Amino acid sequence: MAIAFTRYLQGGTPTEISATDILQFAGAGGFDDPVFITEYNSTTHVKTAASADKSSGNTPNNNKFISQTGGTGGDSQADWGDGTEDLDQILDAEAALHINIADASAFAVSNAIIYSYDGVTTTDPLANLDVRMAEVGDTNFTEAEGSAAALALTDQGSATSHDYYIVISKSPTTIGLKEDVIRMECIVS
Amino acid sequence: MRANIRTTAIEILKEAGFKSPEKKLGKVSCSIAGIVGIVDVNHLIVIPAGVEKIEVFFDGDKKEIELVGVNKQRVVSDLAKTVIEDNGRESAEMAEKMQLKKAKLKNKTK
Repeated sequence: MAIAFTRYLQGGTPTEISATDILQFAGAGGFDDPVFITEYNSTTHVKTAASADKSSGNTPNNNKFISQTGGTGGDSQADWGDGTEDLDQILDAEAALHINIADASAFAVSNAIIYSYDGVTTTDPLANLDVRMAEVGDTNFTEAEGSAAALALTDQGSATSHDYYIVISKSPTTIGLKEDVIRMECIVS
Repeated sequence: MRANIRTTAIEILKEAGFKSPEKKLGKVSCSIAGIVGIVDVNHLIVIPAGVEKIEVFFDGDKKEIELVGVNKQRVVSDLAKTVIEDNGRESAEMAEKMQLKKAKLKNKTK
């Protein structure tokens, strides 16, 4: 079994996020534009190790957190390009992050979780960074900072290819570059 | 049932033809499409696109579901939506607690 995890920033054309790339959450000005404190990202990009905009020309998706419970019946709200909407209205293709897990032989995926951490200790969130994540279909965001607060992803039955579509939005609470790590864990069987 | 659906264990067990599975699930576990040890009727499961048949093991019996086509956009079943809404309320409460904790920490460090 040689299971492959492939990550994409979705958009008009998906941009693959390789092991040395960064998924950049930026301001309204686009690539490398900072996000103001307590505001959430207005654009999302893939940045290479050489600091190039890999997603340029691919019209990358952006998911912007609007509210945790301000939507219909207490749903979260987000803006993915059409204005503020209830989170559960987002379609697979509109999520920013797509993770595909594949192998030539069929396998199931269970106990999958995804979260942000400081890059050193999985239980430790990166200080001063608000990270909201949801699986497409969820009604509310999870503030997935540190492994104890991970977003639990749905088990997937046996298949050769599994797709997870993740809505993700971040906001700094202090000035300065914020470099967290997004980690997904799961059991394949 | 079509592939590319987010649904619940109970819906799959009923689709497979098990009678009143909710009466026994929990006392015995089931296995659905390779996901083993399921004991909760509300256990959420995605049946990925490309799957044509699901094997279900429950209460000493094995049944199969032949899937009829695939949903282009992943469908969330009605019962799954209810489970997700309940989970969402918990997520919202946790997020609120986290925000309060952060606010207290911020005030402490001032």
